[in-house]
Amino acid sequence: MSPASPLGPPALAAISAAVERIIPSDDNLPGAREAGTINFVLGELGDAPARVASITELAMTLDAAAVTADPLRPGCAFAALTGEQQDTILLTLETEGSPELSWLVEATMEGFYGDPRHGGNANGVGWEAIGFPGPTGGSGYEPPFGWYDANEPNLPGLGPDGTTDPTR
Amino acid sequence: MPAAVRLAEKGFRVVVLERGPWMSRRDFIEDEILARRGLLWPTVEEEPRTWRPTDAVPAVRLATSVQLFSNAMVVGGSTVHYSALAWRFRESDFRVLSEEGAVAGASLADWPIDYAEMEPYYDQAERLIGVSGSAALSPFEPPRQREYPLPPVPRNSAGAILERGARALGLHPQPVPLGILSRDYDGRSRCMAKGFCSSYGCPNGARASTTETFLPKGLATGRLEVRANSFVTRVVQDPATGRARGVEYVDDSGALHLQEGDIVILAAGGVETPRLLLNSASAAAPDGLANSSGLVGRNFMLHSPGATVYAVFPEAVDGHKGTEATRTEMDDYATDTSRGFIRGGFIHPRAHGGEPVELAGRPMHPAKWGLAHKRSMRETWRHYLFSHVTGESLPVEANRVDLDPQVKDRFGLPVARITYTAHDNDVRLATWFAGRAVEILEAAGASRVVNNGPVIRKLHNHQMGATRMGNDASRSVVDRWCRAHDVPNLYVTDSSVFVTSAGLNPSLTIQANALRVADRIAATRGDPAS
Ligand SMILES: Cc1cc2nc3c(=O)[nH]c(=O)nc-3n(C[C@H](O)[C@H](O)[C@H](O)COP(=O)(O)OP(=O)(O)OC[C@H]3O[C@@H](n4cnc5c(N)ncnc54)[C@H](O)[C@@H]3O)c2cc1C
Repeated sequence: MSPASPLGPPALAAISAAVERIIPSDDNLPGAREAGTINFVLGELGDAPARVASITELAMTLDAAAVTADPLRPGCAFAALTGEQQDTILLTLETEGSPELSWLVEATMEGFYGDPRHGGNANGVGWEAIGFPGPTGGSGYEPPFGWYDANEPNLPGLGPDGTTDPTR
Repeated sequence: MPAAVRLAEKGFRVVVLERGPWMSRRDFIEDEILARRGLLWPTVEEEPRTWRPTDAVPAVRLATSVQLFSNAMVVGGSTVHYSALAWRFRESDFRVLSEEGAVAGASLADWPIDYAEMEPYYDQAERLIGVSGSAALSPFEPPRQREYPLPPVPRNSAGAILERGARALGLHPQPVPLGILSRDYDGRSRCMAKGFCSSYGCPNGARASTTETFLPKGLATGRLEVRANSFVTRVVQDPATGRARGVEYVDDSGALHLQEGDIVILAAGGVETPRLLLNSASAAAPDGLANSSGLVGRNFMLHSPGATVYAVFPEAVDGHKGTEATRTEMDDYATDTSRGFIRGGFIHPRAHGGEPVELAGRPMHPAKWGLAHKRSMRETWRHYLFSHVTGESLPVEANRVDLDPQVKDRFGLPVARITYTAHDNDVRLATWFAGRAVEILEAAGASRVVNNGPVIRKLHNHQMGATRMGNDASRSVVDRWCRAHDVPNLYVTDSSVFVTSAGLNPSLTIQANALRVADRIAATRGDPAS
């Protein structure tokens, strides 16, 4: 737990658990946990006190719902539930249209699929999962770019680089 | 910028005032998070705006998601990060009233200028910015004196898919004319197909940002000065002569200045130009400057509320490479009343660039989060494209920009309030074109197509019409030379002067018209350097 966390320990536990359900680590592929997505989320909260308050409230809602979620373990915290139980609670909140949850979903996507320079997507694992090499730095790409431009006949007179136009 | 540079070249001393920063190529970082946080745009905190559908409903603040796509705040304006589709409007686009007759609920009019008057300026603009295209391969091209200066840029898979679907339906796919260099040109190097195109500044200068095209030529004259971080608060009118004395602006230290000038040209974009005129009200012009017609802000147009259509394909599209839109079809552009609406538009399937966060929020996944979403991200990223549909919107006098009575910006000035409901014709057009896009993408072999349908448009990146051009001073704000009817030395050169919207992206027309206006100013003011 980072000492700079704007969330207190119980809230941090619940929000971390939620983030790890939003992008789970299934299919033997990294999820939010391996990408360190929570660091990005905490960074976003750090700038915005009103947001810290509303996300703390979201954590309290999650924990309150968790109390009765597992008949065998009454009084459980959200972070201690099974993934399926956590999903059920998150789905209920989503159906209710919780704006805090939709903020958290968006921030989680940013912290998994966004540029690693902002603290999430550690080692580019989010990009690797989908097949995105990231920015090209000083170089670029040459055609063909994808299967369709490699295989569909081009307009008359245009070669594969598109620019061999005989009229010029 | 085109007008400023042309005038500097003709011997005028010109000061350009821009509220945003002056960025250069190395500032254009390819980072989706920064783009989402407003690297090149004003945030809702810096520049709030409000919207309401009609006068009967209270206005609400626009959300970041709407605002982000809608305007720029940087030297060069939105050309810094536009998609650079560089269309000429068609002959009929300048005479919509004559072509179509009056339409209930719309304030149709003909432009006071026609295509023939614009053609030489389109030609100049295409050569100055370096447009890549092919008239030979574009069967619906309006008359033009010569070919595009550069051949088309390489086709991407989104373009190849458009070709495939359009051919299957018997249509005529063609290159999209682009202000992106297919070859080295005028000291700039060709596009490297890096992705991160639309919404990002080009780190190589291959896109026709005015900071790459016009600005260097203006600076080379020694007569053009750009003052960045300078927010113009009002145009100051001399009550004795009725002429504009100059403009007041706040610099980045917060100091207020008066910049005097013989001529004032507004090019603040389709929302800020009318707002500035309304914020320039004075005892002599109580309803806003140049507003004796009462039309400043009215007839505001945002193009038809086009759907975005998403499609997933079995083979790799790899839309993170290259520029966005490379092929389209113009077969459906002309009016065909059997479709149930007048006017038309075009479909431009696009590579998505380097934006996986954007994909994560798109309506093509079975769930918004969780394992199903994660799997869907993996299955779609390399295989999907989206298609924009751009179409004409009819002018409606009640659609307008005015001043919000409550919300103020960081300088304490009333912000722009947008009142906008698309004309029925626009909605029918958008619905039909979305269907056409679905048809083309399915004919091209898409495994899945999602049509998000026409949207409620509050604000968008094409903002036109709010200081209409016309010959009749009671029915328009500026004359055929884009000079305010009421203020003899005040000009507007952005898309606010458009009388109708056409179904095509506006920028080449803005630039060609600005060159036309600048030539007129130079011709009628004699030689200012002598
Ligand atoms: C993502 C995106 C993609 C686009 N793609 C295309 C395309 O493919 N083809 C096309 O033709 N068009 C496209 N457009 C639209 C195009 O960029 C605009 O039509 C064009 O840039 C408008 O030019 P303008 O000079 O009128 O306004 P802008 O480009 O908006 O420039 C106005 C400038 O004035 C400044 N300003 C405003 N108010 C003040 C003030 N009070 N004081 C000082 N400065 C002020 C603003 O900060 C801004 O920089 C796109 C736009 C966006 C956002």
